[in-house]
Formats: sequence, structure tokens, C-alpha cells
Amino acid sequence: MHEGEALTAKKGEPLMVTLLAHGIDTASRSIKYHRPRGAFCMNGSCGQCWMRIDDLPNRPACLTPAVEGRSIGRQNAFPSADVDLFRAADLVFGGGFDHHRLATTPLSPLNAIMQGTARQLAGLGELSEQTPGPAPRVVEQEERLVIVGSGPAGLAAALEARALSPLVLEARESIGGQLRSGLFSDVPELAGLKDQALRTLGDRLWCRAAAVGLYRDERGPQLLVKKREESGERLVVIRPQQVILATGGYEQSLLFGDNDLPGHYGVRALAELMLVHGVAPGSRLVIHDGGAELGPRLYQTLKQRGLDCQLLDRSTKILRAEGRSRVKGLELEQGGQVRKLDCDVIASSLPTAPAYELAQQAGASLAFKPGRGFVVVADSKGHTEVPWLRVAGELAGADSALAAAASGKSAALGLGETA
Amino acid sequence: MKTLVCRCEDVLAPEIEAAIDAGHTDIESLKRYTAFGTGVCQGKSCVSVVAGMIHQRCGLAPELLQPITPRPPIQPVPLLLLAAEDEA
Ligand code: FES
Repeated sequence: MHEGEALTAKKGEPLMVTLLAHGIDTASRSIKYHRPRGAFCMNGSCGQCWMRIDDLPNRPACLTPAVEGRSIGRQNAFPSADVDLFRAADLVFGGGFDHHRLATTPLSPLNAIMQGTARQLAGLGELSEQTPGPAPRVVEQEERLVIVGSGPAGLAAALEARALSPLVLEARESIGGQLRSGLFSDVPELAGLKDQALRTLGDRLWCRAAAVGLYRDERGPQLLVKKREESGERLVVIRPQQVILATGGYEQSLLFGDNDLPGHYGVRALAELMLVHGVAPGSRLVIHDGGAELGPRLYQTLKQRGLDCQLLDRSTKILRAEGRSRVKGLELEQGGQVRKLDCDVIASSLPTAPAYELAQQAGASLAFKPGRGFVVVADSKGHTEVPWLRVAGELAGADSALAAAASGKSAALGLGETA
Repeated sequence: MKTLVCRCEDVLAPEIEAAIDAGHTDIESLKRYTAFGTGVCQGKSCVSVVAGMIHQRCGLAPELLQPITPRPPIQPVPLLLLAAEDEA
């Protein structure tokens, strides 16, 4: 049920997919200007699809599976996210508002009103009235080697170190990371990785298990994992001897006018929607090639399927998106000329920004790479300054799926032998 | 028309640029001044973009840029689950 309307879903598909399949692309309203927002990353990282699900606020619709009888609703909007009266804030504060100066004179009545209104305008949903059930017990377990992430880097590392029977953690429903879309099935080194891992590692592959913290206490490294099981979510504390982080990266958005409108996706998100879930969020698709290898690959595949898809090269600048509640077209600058392009989906295909959080918590150093983001400082084998921590894939600077797999393999070299 | 750098907190590109020009050339003070990176995604979608903007706008050497410190949990965890640890 979505706001009183019954929706049909494939069991287990992410709720955001269900919404898009029903033509609903506004998932939330933004915090200050109440602008409509839709899924951007489909990977739990952009925070734009958070909804009230089964009466609990702030749950990512892109990672929460559709289950019969589940209720979902949009939050942070009045009366609803389709027509949000507070959108007036977007129009009144056309150039942005300066919260350093806006109605902050101490003790003024305007300040008092502002405080009250700001609370209503902002905020992220309301707490549930329900009393939560008993807390599931936290389990603790010891491991020799834990690999975080099951993309090409994580899987290649796990296969290389299989003698140690490593535990592989994957936050999503299934393993593979960017291989899930099938867009690399023509690359022999990558095509068989998933199946080989499934055969070799079996139940050592944990899906729906998100690593949320990595630090060290007096007993050694400790990895905090949020795991979703049939009965619900629980925390697992893992005590690993060695950790390989292959956490990949987060999709980044191009900067152009109204780049936050629903209908603008990261290229991985678009591949996920169309090729993993078979749902097209629009019918006239445009991909902007910002250097990520997935953009041209996805374009080729969609073209072969006879879909209306265009690839814009890097010299084309997107000036702005048209449309008030979703993308309805683009204004482009090409060779000094400004022109319009009719479309309903635009995908940014930029290199991902490495997901460095766990590495940094563990004590590894980071270095900024322009055009990329913060990568972890490591030698060519992925060894960091932290003796028990290695990194692989995008986190170590890999810029293609093939390079990620190679770095995963070399990060795990030698680990299996010392077993 | 608005160009968003940080969607979670509705921070716009010209606001970041103005803050950089006003002397906030490290990520931490830029964050405190504009509130970028303080929303639900905790900087996953914006810290690298902002680092790139600082780098481009004032030619700061890449080595001088460090991101904001990401505290655990890096994904939202219901308080109920954390409360459970005390009982265990
Ligand atoms: S967090 Fe769900 S789409 Fe980005």
C-alpha cells in the first residue's frame, strides 16, 4: 500500500522499483526548499528515497524489499509529496537562503516564528507510535578473514583467499556489485566470477549484511554489521584477524541547473533498474558520458534492445534540466551552441567516489585524487598502513571493473598460504 | 533554477563557491559554514564534489584536502538494535 493506494510488486524487489513501475518517481521532498526528489543511486547512499515504511520513518525504499501488506508513505511533505504546500519556500527563497542571517535576531518575534516554522519545514519524518518489540540479541563471532563488498574486487579477493574460507559481506540482496547488471558478461575474467564465488564460497557469502563500523578496541579489530534476516534486522559484531575492504564507490551527480529533479539517475542506478529489475523509469533516455566505463556499455545494450537512448559525450555541457516536478528535457551547450533535448531520464556516468569510511575509521590514510574522490593510501598490493587492513577495487583507485578484480586478487595474494 | 551540491541539506553550488571565496578552503570549515555533508547521506554524494570545487577554485594541492570524519554507523541503524547490545 502506498499512501492508501494498493500497488502490485514482484516479491522481494526493492520498494522503489515498485513505485517506479507504477509511474511514481517522487520519493521525498527536500529538507529546506521542499523540492521533489526521487531515487538517484538505488544503492542506499544518496538518501533521496527515504520513506516511511511500515510506520517506521527514514527507511531507504531502494533497499527495502516489497513484502505483501507492507505500507509505504512519503514523509516531510504536507499534504503529500505530490502537492507540497511548503514548496513555497523554493519560490520565495529563489536564490537560496542565508541561514546565517535569516530571521536570527535574538528575541525578535520573527525569530520565534522562524524557530517554530523551521521545525515543521525541516525534520525527517516522525517517530512511530509503536513500542518496538524486544531487541534482537547481538551475536559476536570470530573470523580469520572478512571481505567487505562483493563486487569484482571483493569476489576476486575471496576466490584468491578461499583456503581461509573468508566471510564476504554484501549489503544488497545478491552478490556481484556492478556485475549484477550483466553488462560485463563479454569480459571473460569477469563473466564467471559470480557463479564461481557462489559455488566456492556458498554460505560464507552473506547478503543483506551491511558493514556499518570498523574500529579497534583492546581486543583487536571489530567490525559492526547490520544484518537482515527473515525475522528482522540484528547487529552482528565480527572479530576479524584480517580485513579486506572492497567497498566500491558512491555514484556522483553532475552539476547542472535543477540536477535534483526526479528522473536524474546515476548510471549504475539506471542499469540496476532496467537490467536487474526490468523497470524503465522513462522512455527517452539520455546518458552523459562523464568517464565511467558503465555509461557507454549501458548505452550499447539499451540501443541493441531497440530503446530510445542517446549518449552525450564529455564535451557536451548540460546547462539545466527542464521540468518542475520531474525531468522533461535538457538544455545543452555543444560547440558553443545552446540547444534543447527532449528526454525524461538523464543519467550521470561519472567515476564513483570511493567509499572510504570504514578504512578511515580503521586508521588508514586517505589521499584526494582530482576527478575521483578520496582513495585509501596503499601499496600496489593494497596493503595499508594498518597491518590487518588491505583495500581493493575502487577504494584503492581502480577505475574499471577489470582493474578492480585484478586489485582484489593481488590484495588477497599470500593470505591463503599462511593459513 | 537551483544547482544542488548537497541534496540532503539543500546546499547550492553558488553557496559553496561563495563560502570558498570567503576563505573556507578546508572541508571541515566549509561544512560548518554551509552545512553541506551534514544530512542523511553523511557526505557520500557531496564530499568529493566539494573537494574538487576547492581544488579547482583555489588551486589547493590535493594532499591538503581531507574529508570530514565519518563516524559509525555509516548506514542508518535503528536505535533498537543498538539498545540490544546492553542486554547481551
Ligand atoms: S538512497 Fe535510495 S536511491 Fe539513493
